[in-house]
This record gives sequence, C-alpha cells and structure tokens, in this order.
Amino acid sequence: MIELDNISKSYRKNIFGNQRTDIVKDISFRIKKGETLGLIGASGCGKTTLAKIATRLMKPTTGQIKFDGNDITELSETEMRKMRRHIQVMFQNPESALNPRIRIYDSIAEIMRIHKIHKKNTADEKRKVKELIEIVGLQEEHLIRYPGELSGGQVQRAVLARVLSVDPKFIVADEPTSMLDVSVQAQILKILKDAQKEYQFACLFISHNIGVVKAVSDRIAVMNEGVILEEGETNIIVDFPKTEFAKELMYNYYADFYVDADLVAN
Amino acid sequence: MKKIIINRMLMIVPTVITIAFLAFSIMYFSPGNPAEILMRYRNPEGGTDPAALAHYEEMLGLDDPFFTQFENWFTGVLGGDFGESFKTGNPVNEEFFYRIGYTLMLSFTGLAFSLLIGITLGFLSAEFKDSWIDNFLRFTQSIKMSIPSFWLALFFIYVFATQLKWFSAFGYNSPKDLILPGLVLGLSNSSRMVRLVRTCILEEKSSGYVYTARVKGLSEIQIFFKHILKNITLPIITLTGVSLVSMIGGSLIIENIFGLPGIGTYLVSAIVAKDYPVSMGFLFAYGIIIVLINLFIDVLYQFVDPRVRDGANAEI
Repeated sequence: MIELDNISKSYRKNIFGNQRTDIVKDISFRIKKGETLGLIGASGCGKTTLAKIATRLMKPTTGQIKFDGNDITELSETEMRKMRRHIQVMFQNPESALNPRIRIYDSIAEIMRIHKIHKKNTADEKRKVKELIEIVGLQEEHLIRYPGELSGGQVQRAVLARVLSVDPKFIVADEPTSMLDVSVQAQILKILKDAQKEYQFACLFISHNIGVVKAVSDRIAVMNEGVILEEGETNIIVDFPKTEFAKELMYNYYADFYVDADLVAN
Repeated sequence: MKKIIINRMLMIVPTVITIAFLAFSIMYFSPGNPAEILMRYRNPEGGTDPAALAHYEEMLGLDDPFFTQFENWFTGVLGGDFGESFKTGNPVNEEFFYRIGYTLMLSFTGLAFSLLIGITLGFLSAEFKDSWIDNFLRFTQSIKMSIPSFWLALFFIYVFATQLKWFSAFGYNSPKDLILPGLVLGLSNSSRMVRLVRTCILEEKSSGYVYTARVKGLSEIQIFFKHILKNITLPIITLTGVSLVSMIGGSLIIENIFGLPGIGTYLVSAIVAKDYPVSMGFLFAYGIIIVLINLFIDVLYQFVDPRVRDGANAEI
C-alpha cells in the first residue's frame, strides 16, 4: 500500500554553509493493506518528520514514496490535494487538532465536502456524520460544540471520525493518545483497531509508548536519531531486541506502567 | 451577555460628563472675552462700548459662576441645543449634522483602505515569510510608520493631483474625492495592521488544525479564508477600533489639507476665530463619537466570538 524507499530529509545548518543536518536518514519501510507498523523512538528522533513525509505534507530531500504502486514523491500540491482523501493523519495534540472556531460537526464534515462525497448540510452528510460519531463513541450533542468545550479524548474521537469519514487507504497516527489518560487511550486504540479490521487501511502508528505500540502493531520499527535501527514482528522486537537502544527501551517498558494489550485486543 | 452590554452603556455616563466638563473648561479658561468677540462679529465697526459689552456679557451669562455656566451649557447640550455660532448665527448642531457625514465617510474610506492594505500585505508577508517579499514589506512598513500623514497627503496631492491629474486636490464634489484623502489616512494607519495580521497568521499556521486542514486537502488560500481568518478576527477587530478612533482624530488634519467640509475643518477654523459655542460643541461631539465607537467595538466582541454567541442554543 505505502512504500518508503531510502528517505532522507536534511536542512542546511546555516545560509551559506554546505553542512547539513539530517533529520531522518535513509529510511525504508512498507506497510501492506490492513497492516499496522508501529514506530517507536525517543522524542526528537525524527518520528514526526517521517510522518509528515509519509503523508507528503513535506517533501523528502532524497528517496521515493510510493502509494498504491504510484510514485507520489514529486507530485505537485494540486495533484497531491486530490490524493489527500486516501491518506489521513491523526496528530498528537487534541487541543489544537481542530479549529477552535468551527463546530465539531463542520470539522468532521468539511473533508467530505472538499472531496465531494456529500454536499454541504444534506441529509446524506448528516446521516454519515451521525454514523461516524456512533462508531467513535460520541453523542449527537457533541456535534454542536466547539473543540474547547470537549475533553481531549472526545476531541481525538472526533478527529478519528473525520479520519474515517473518507475511508482512507493509509492512516498515520502520530502519537494520537499520548496526551490522554490510560482508560481513554485504550478505548480509542480499540476503535482504531476495530475500524482497521473493517476498512482494511494501512496504518503507521507512531508513539514513544511501547505498550501502546505493542497493542496495535503487527510489526514494529525502532527509530533513533533519524535512523531505523531494527524492524520486525511485534513480539520478536519487544521480547528479543537486538540493538542496545532497543534493549534499553524494552527494559524501561517492562519496568514501567504499560497499557494492557489484551484490553485493546478484545 | 446582556448584562455586559448594559454595564458598558452605564459606564459611558461618567465619561460623557467628563468630556463635557473638559470641553467646557478648556474654552472657559482660554484667553479672550467671548462677549467682546461676539460683539465684534455682530458689529465689526462698533468699537468696544462698555455699556454694550455689559449687555452682551449679561446675554451670554458670563457673570454667573463657573458651575452655573457649565450647567446651563450642559443641560442645553443634553437637550440637543448646542447654542449658536458667533460667526454665522446658525445653530451649532445643524452645522454639526451637516458636516459629520463627510468626516465619517472619510474615516470609513480610510478604514477600508487600511483593512484592505493591512490584510493583503499581512497575508503576503506571512505566506512568503523570510523571502524577499516579506523583507521588502517589513522594510517599507517601518518607513511608512515614520512618515507623518500630512507629508504623505502633500506628496500624494503633488503626484496624483498636480502631476497625474487623476484626482482633484481640493474640496468635495463627488465620492471620488474621498479616495485620495482616504488612501492617505488608510496608509498611515495600515502599518500596525500589516504587522498584526502577519504575526497572527504565522501563529495560527503553526497550530495543529492548519496541518489537519492540509491533510484534508484544502489549498493554502482555502485554509486562510476558511480556517485562519476566523481565528484572527478578534485581534483585527480590536485594532480596527483603535484605528477608527485615530482616523477620526487624523481626519482633522487631512480634512484641512484636502479642503473637505467635515467637522475637522470647521472645528479648526472655529478655534482660530474664537467661535466658542462651535468649538465647545464640536469638541464634545468628537469625544462622544469616540466613546460610541469604543462601545460599539465592545459589544461587537460579544457577537464575533461564536463560542459566546451561540452558547448552547446552536442547532445542526
């Protein structure tokens, strides 16, 4: 479904110099339909940059992005906009994820209007939105609210409803639950998991919380300082990490509090 | 919300009284005897006959104590009677209502220009941040800020009226004559607007919902109009209120340069001619207009913020 080949992103250190800092270096992975790749790594290791590249919000310096077999690396903004409905993102911070001046209903419905799935305020659109909020566990009364009047968990549910509304083929979840408390986390992950079973989208799930990643991912990639250190089946990576960095992460995970994987799975 | 609005309205009462008091005392304590001036206007050849002067003083009530005079004038003002001009003998309020239209037209033309220039340039500056466009705009804004409006007015008259002959340089014959003075007012007030719009847009652009909007597939222009603009209206309105006030003040100078028959021109000539009733009345009216604009902006706040406006009564 989505393939990243030898992706690098670098910035010039200053205006005149030729020295460059690499944010991500030579990264390759592919995610199949209906599969989730978990990406773990410490803060500032380039996870979010990678998320922006994978969704083509940012162009890589070198490398190639293939979506559904087509190279989308060099698509223009206009061409890319038509593709957008297939590639959706959930961001970390629920406080700013939705426009504070737009009602939840319109925030969810806007994307369907843009991609001409439903016309503005038609019965179809309303039905679809109500269907979606039921899936994500919101009530109808929330639709007329503004994001500031909802809790973080409720906002992320609304974001999830928006993401699912266009039936995307690829979803990037960039730490979608890191700002939420544990019980809400588990609920939202379960909704995401269930939706994946039904709609079979590919998912890149980014987090620094191994418990969360373990609960939702089929495979895991461990990232540090812009490089993917190792990648493999979830259980193998968690239980038998090879690199020093991964070993330390897993050690901390078992020592720390973690999300119960079974809770999410059921 | 009603409570806030009523509160604001009550608060203007002491302000109005203070303005009236100041307008009156400035004229009261300024040098010169109103009776003598009025007498000269009525009868330029008559000289200063003490008996006649005493008669005029009594007629104007100049023998009364300060507060009695103030009270007489203020009760008149509250009843809509601002007295009569010494010079022309016409009621002051008639003159005022005839002229206020020009001043407001000029101020709002200036405001329109200031908003248009401010939002467009601010948007460009933010959109092309740190490029030569942004640098050029920021540089010119700083220059523009330090140019006094009367100089800009004279410069524009020279270029657009004298040389290019696109506009007339003096007087008011058609709405077209408002363009040049409006542009001068707008330009000299737009620098702050450009800066504000630029800062606000940049701030909003880094927030998550803008990324979300990009992911949705909106173009940058659509993102600006559908998402960002809604979030920057409040600071823009605040500055618009301040600008409008400073434009009504600034119109005093611009009206004089362009010879527009607004209240500014009349007020200045009344002060020069020591036409007391006109000066006091117009000063007071200027103050009231500014108070009303501020009141209007305060009330507007309550309506613009949708979170305040709709509350829980909204429906899908």
